[in-house]
Amino acid sequence: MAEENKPQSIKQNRLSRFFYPKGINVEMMRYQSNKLCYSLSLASILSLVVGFCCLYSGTKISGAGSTFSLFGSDNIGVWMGVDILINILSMLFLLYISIRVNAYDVKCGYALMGFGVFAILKIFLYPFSLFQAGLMSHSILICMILFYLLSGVLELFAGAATISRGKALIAFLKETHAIDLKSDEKAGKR
Amino acid sequence: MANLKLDHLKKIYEDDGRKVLAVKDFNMEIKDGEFIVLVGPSGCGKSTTLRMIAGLEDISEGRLFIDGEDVTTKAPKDRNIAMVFQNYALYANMTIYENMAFSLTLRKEDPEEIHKKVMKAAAILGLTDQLNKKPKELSGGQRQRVAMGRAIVRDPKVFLFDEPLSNLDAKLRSSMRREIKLLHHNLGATMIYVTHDQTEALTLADRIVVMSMGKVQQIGTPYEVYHDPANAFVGYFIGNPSMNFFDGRIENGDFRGPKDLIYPLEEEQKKIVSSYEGKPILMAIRPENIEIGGDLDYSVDLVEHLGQYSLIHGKLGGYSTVIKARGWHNFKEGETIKVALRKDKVCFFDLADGHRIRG
Repeated sequence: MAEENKPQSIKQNRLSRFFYPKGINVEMMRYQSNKLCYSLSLASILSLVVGFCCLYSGTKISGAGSTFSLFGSDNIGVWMGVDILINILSMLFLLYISIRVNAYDVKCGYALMGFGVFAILKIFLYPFSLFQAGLMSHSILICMILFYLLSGVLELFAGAATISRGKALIAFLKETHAIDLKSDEKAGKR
Repeated sequence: MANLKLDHLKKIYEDDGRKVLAVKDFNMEIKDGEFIVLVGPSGCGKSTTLRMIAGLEDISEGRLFIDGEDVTTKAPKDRNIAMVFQNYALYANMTIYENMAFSLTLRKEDPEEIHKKVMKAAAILGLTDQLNKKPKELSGGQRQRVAMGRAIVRDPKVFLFDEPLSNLDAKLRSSMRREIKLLHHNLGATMIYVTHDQTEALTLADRIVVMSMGKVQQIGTPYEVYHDPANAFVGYFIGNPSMNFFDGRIENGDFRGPKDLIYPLEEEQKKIVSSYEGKPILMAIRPENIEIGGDLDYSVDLVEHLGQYSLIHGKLGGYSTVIKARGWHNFKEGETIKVALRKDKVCFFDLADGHRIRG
């Protein structure tokens, strides 16, 4: 039993060491970028793009007996435009946030988590309305949900990790007097 | 750290059927912790020798041993050596930390161990505050220190330096020389250093290997190479200004030059050149061993003031000569002064092949 648990406990140790680094691992962070979180946030952008493409490649703009309605409006063209705009802006902001996350920026970690929540909630707005109106097939919906969900999960994970690791780094830098105590907001940035 | 044995190493390049012997029979044993400097003019084979030790050039003949192990045909990565290049060879897209850690990362070492080694090397070289910078943000001296740091972290058996200070200005070269000397003292590592600068050779080396045209001219301590040159080339190349040479003959116990110089030899000197009576010979003496005041006439052409010393350029018996004299001398152009040669510092060389005549 002890041997079966060993790999699991090692994984947990690695995970907790990743989220809550201590000692030499924090010192190493001073000279290494937050590569994993950066890669995960880039992957979330890619996932978002794929989900976005699934949505618009498998959707009909109009159909007989269509009952599309979102926030009281049935103008599908307008909501398509809004959705496209939101997705483009999201990708741009996510790209910027990824670069900041690479430098252990705590604020951008929170922003990334926010985008993660938004990515998941977004599924239930425009895409769901399209499905309910019969303008999107079931398979396309599943595909889109998976990619949007993946994007959201990656962003939540990367954001949470950036926040905890960034805070650990700030605490370490304060302790070693490498940064001014009054400017701790800037300390996490490189 | 390690001892090395270079057993009759040769390097032959083939070019359109023509063979070029770049290194001729390099034979030497290097003790553990020694600082060896290979010095010579451009094209003498010193860098080629270093590259053969590193494994970057194949050894045409001979064998190379590191710590008793024959590494003649081993790949460079398996010889456990580290090399510092003239042009630093840093990765421009990586930070200093990443540059120093790179070789260990490739070896898949534990990240914590890599970090400890990098921090230790950075502390030794005073680079701790520069670790997050990129190479382009550093000065030449700092970049060279990074290159040394990259070598140190590997904990190699032997350090190889290929003219690392050549790209630096004179003042920086002087300070980096001190740092390299200090590094050798701190690490106690076996180091082989290539340079064309004889000042670097004299200041850094435990032993110097003077090379010319692919051949070893002399192996000795800086004192031996400077004060007791094995041949005329070593006497000429080592020392700044170089030795003064006078060609002439031994006749009736005197050295006589074809111009006006007649120099009476002492008994000890007559014994040394006894087999050269009537034959052409080269007499030489270092500039600092010609003293003001004596029996020989010296016609002054120019005086260079170096603060504590003066370089008095002129003619001794018709030969262009340089005297390095202590103090500030204000001799005028065309003035004739009296000088003397320190008898115990005069050297004799065979005029044909330049070898030192010792009797």
